[in-house]
Amino acid sequence: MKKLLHYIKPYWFWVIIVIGLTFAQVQFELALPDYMSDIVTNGIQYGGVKDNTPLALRAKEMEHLLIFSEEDEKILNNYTLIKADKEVYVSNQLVRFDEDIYVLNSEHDDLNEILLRPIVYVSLIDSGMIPDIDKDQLYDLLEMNDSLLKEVKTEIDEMIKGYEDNLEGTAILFVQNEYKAIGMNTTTIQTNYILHVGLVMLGVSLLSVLCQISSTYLSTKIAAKVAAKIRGDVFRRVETFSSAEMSHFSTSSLITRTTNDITQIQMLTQMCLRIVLMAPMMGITSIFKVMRYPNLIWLLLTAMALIALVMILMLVVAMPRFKIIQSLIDKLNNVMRELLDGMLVIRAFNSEKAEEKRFDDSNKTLSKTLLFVDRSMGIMMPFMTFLMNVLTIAIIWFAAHEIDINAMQVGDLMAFIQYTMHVMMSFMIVAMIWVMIPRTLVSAKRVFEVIDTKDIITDKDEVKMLPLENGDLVFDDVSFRYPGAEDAVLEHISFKASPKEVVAFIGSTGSGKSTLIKLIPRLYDVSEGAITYSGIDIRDVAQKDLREHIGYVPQKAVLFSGDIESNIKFGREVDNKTLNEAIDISQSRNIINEKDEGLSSKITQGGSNVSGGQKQRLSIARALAKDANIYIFDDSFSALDYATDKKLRAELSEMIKKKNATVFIVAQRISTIKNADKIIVLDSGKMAGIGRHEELLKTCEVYQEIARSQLSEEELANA
Amino acid sequence: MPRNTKLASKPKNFKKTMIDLIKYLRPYYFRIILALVLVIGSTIIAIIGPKILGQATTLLFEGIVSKYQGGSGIDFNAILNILLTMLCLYVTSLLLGYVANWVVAGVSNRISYSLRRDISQKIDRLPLKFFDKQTHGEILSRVTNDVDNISQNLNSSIQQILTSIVTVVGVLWMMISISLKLTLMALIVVPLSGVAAAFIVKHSQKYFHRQQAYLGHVNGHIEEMYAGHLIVKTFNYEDKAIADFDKLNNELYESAHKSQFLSMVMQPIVGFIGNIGYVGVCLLGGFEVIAGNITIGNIQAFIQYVRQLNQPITQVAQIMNIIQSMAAAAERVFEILDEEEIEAEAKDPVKVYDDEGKCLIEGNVTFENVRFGYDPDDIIIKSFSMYVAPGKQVAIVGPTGAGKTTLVKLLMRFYELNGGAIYIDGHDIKDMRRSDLRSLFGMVLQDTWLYSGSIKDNIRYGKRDASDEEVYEAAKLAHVDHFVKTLENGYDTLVDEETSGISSGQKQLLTIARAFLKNPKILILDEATSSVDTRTEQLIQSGMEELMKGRTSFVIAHRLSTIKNSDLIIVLDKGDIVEVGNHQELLAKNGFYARLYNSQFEG
Repeated sequence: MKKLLHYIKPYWFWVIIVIGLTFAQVQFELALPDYMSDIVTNGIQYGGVKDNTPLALRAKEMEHLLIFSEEDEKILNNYTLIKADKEVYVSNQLVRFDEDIYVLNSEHDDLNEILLRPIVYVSLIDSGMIPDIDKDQLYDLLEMNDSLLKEVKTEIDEMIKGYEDNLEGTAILFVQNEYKAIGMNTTTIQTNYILHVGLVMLGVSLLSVLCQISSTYLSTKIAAKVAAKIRGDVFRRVETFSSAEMSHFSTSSLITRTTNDITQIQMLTQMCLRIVLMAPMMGITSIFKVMRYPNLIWLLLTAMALIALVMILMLVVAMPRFKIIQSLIDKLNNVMRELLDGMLVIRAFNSEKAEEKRFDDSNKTLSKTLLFVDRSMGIMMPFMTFLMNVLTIAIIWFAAHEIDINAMQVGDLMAFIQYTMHVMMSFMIVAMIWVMIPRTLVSAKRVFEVIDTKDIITDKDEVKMLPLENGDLVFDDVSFRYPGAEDAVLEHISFKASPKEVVAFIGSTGSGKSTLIKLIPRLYDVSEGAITYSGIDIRDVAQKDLREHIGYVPQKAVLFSGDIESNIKFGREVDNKTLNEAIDISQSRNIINEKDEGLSSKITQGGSNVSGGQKQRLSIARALAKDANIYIFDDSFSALDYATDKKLRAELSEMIKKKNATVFIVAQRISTIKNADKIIVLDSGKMAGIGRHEELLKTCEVYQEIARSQLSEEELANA
Repeated sequence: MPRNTKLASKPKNFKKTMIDLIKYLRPYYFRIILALVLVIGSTIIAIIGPKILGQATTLLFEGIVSKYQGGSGIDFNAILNILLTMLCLYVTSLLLGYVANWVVAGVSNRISYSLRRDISQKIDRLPLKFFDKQTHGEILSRVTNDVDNISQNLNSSIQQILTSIVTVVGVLWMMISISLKLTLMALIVVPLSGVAAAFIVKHSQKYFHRQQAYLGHVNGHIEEMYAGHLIVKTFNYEDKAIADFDKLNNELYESAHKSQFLSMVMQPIVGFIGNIGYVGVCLLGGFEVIAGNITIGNIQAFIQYVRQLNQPITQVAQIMNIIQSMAAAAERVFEILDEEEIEAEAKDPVKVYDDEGKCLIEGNVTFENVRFGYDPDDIIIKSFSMYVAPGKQVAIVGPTGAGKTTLVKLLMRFYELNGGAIYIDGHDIKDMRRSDLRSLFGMVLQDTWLYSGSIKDNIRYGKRDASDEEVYEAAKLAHVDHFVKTLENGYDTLVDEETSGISSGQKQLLTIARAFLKNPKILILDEATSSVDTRTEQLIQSGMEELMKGRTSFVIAHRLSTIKNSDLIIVLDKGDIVEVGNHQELLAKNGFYARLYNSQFEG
């Protein structure tokens, strides 16, 4: 994870922008239920009247209010008196009334608190709370008689005892009635309010989507960039690997690490930048919004605890089964692979039925386990839905009581339900991601393992230059063991190979032949002793310089996609003469002639469209086309028939003489190496003999044994 | 190539594949209908839920408003009644949903089981010809990945499709029952989001395909360069490899970014369009409430319905993708199941064993004008005839690709001839039951095949009812008894793919022991010992010689020195017999064989 962050670091600025955008998006998105609540509470319930400060009221009513008010001056300062029959705009409506009216100034103080109680008193008296007295008379009396005022106040206070929280609603009704009284269209007020909130909602959701789109753009870009950078780094790293590191990781594992694993990282990064950031923000913001109703928050916490419990339970029950399933699938695959590989044998032994049974057994076990997991996981979704539903029911029930005491509005209840759903959703997403992240992190770990690998073979800081002329190649008491291995693969190998010489290696499998010649181009470095070329230790030479002098043909012929020509030239300049010579000597001429397009015939990936023998010949041509001093053939003639093999070797030896080159051949067949200048016999990593064919037949026991298994008595005797 | 390139693949014949798939569902019709009923039930509850809950909200609202006007306040009893009803309904819905899930999971599981079983049985009835065209990896991926894909998607898509359909219909019904006007308002945005989604999909598809293509290029390059690492290194090709890689990687980055962005931007845009509808409903709903056409609780319910309706609609694209990928997987599976099978057995087969199980065959083998090609247009063996008397040893030699192994495969009727006939004791092999015919042969092949099981079981493969003693005896004859005894668990040692303690030579010996145990009339030896050390090679050699005594045997020889003593050497080149005779005769002819033989020893 830390390493991954290191790769994201160059984009920190953009990451912060993404975080900011995501935060904004969440805020916008979560504001929507609030607006909806506004529409329900203020728009519908209170007819679009937001608070209890009237925008306009009759002068008469104002006088009544002032009777109960203690801050008359402050109130009047905020209102302008409009004479009867004068036109005035109130909330975009033209008002013309036959009495004097007060209109609230466009800039005004917060009068809600000051006006609340007076309005309630007045509206209760207006609604005929105190019987048997003419209202106008009563107001006149109240104005003059302080003790009566006190008495009435106390009486009304007594009446509204217990309803203190509901006063605002009563006050707003009063305001609404005032509007009606002065001839304002209340429906228009309501409509205007709802429309206004609706437009704000649209605007907010537009902002939210803009934030979301830009943060998506940035996060996909960052993720793709990070993936490309990591992929590039891994590839570069692998290109510097020696054979030791290659075999440590294995080619196929390196391929998955550079491809699929990095795609996983890209997905993870993208996910982190989007969902992982967003879900907690959503959750936390929602919790803040829900916190306004502290009496209900326990509901949410209980539900969250329940969900967590269910998920943990699922993990405990189902997770181990997932592992089992993987191993069962592997097993089924394995049986199927055996079935396919052994097709001939199975049919020859008439054991189809038994094999079908074997497969059926694996199939049944797998099916049973899968069914169990499917069914136990299957309860999750219905249960989650159930939990949410029950939560909704509980919210309505408990909120009903809150609403009853006016601690909450109906619109708030609806918003609360939506916030709760948001919290639950985010909580589930976070939980699911926490389950997924460790799995994706495995990919990251595998990738960084490659990047962090230390090179085993490195160039020295100061390298010597090899002379262009071919010189002696000397193994001086060379031993080699694979990194980390205890036993040596090669022990105390010493010999000298001079220009124009053909040096051959023979021995049974595992005797170390292939390893030995891989030491020459420094695909591995010797563990003890030294290899010198033209008198210079090859470890003092740059790897590239050394390899320029070597033409190498591997055991397993490899071709690359392109055409025949690009495969032989392989990225270097080759003149026509050398090219043709390489084609002729490697006996590749008829491959080219057979194809309609000759040299430019396509080669598919891995050379799958040419036969094994053709591949081998072309890979020999590739090595010969390189103007090298040393040629190495690692058992490179095995797929050739005897006749081609012979012809190739004859022409090769001519070329070597001409070029003053040295040749190393690893072979299985004695016939291939019979004429070599030096044959080195290897047995379990040690030199069992060195010399020409005839000498070895007489002196070397291991060589004799190999010869006996390949040649007839006469041939042995003839030798 | 990574598997995800396949995800984008489309079935070639969607309709036929779906019909085939539905055929597999036939035995489960009852269960599927049951699941359908259950899903409908649980969805209906999910749908009426908001409306009933809405009544509770309406009660609340009316209660509180009446309270302002000095009325009776909130009727808690009525609300409680509604909520308890809902609780009961939700519990029912949970149960119905889970039982439906249980049933569907069972059905999809049974189907994937039978698909796998059918493939494994089908494989045994397929001609070998089929496997020449298919890699094992390809078949394996059909057995596991594709079948898995089918069962997973079947499981989720059956439920999803059912729920979606019921939800859309039910929700629409409920919405209309609340208010037609509001429903129309909500529906206006549906085609809008559909158009937007289609627009984005169309554009993202382009980039998505491009991304897949570039991913393919990058992966291809990586595979090549890693697989050819040795060559890359020794030819100093790294710089060019990296330069090529950077170019491809950059192309991939460009397309990956765009396709990811486009595929991820869909959700917010469709969401925004959904929000327009939401706002519209809030507005219009508000006016309707003011006009008294609708209750506040119904607005709450309606808003929830709008959300519920949007979900299946946005899921349509996803479900279509799932179905498409499932159909593609199913098509690959049915491709195998629909392959042409091997020819039917002869109606009145030749009796090979008498009633006591004694073999009636001596081991005469005749090839008569045999004509064969793996591809009928590319005949390898044009006209091949030979006669082999019982107990004789025949060696088949020739360069690679000459058709040596092919002859043997024809003899055991792994492939059908394109002309001519093969007779054993005068009976055309086509007139024998395959199992009878093959029971006559014992073979030791170049590729040793052992299955995961004990060594004992592996030897016993030759004769299933053999006693332990017979197994040990066969092992002794094959010179492998000593080696097996050196293993920690002896004959009970388990062999599997990664078995490290057993070399390829020793595996070869085990298959020889297997052939001994079978005690066949006719032997086929594909002698290939190139990768075996000298001592084991000699053991194998003597094991094989022991085995050949008194049996008609065919030896495919790679090394000529081992077959000099054969009764008959058949020299093949390009599917035709070039020369026939024993070693001395052929050498004397100084022809193809002599050249082949001598080239071994010349430098």
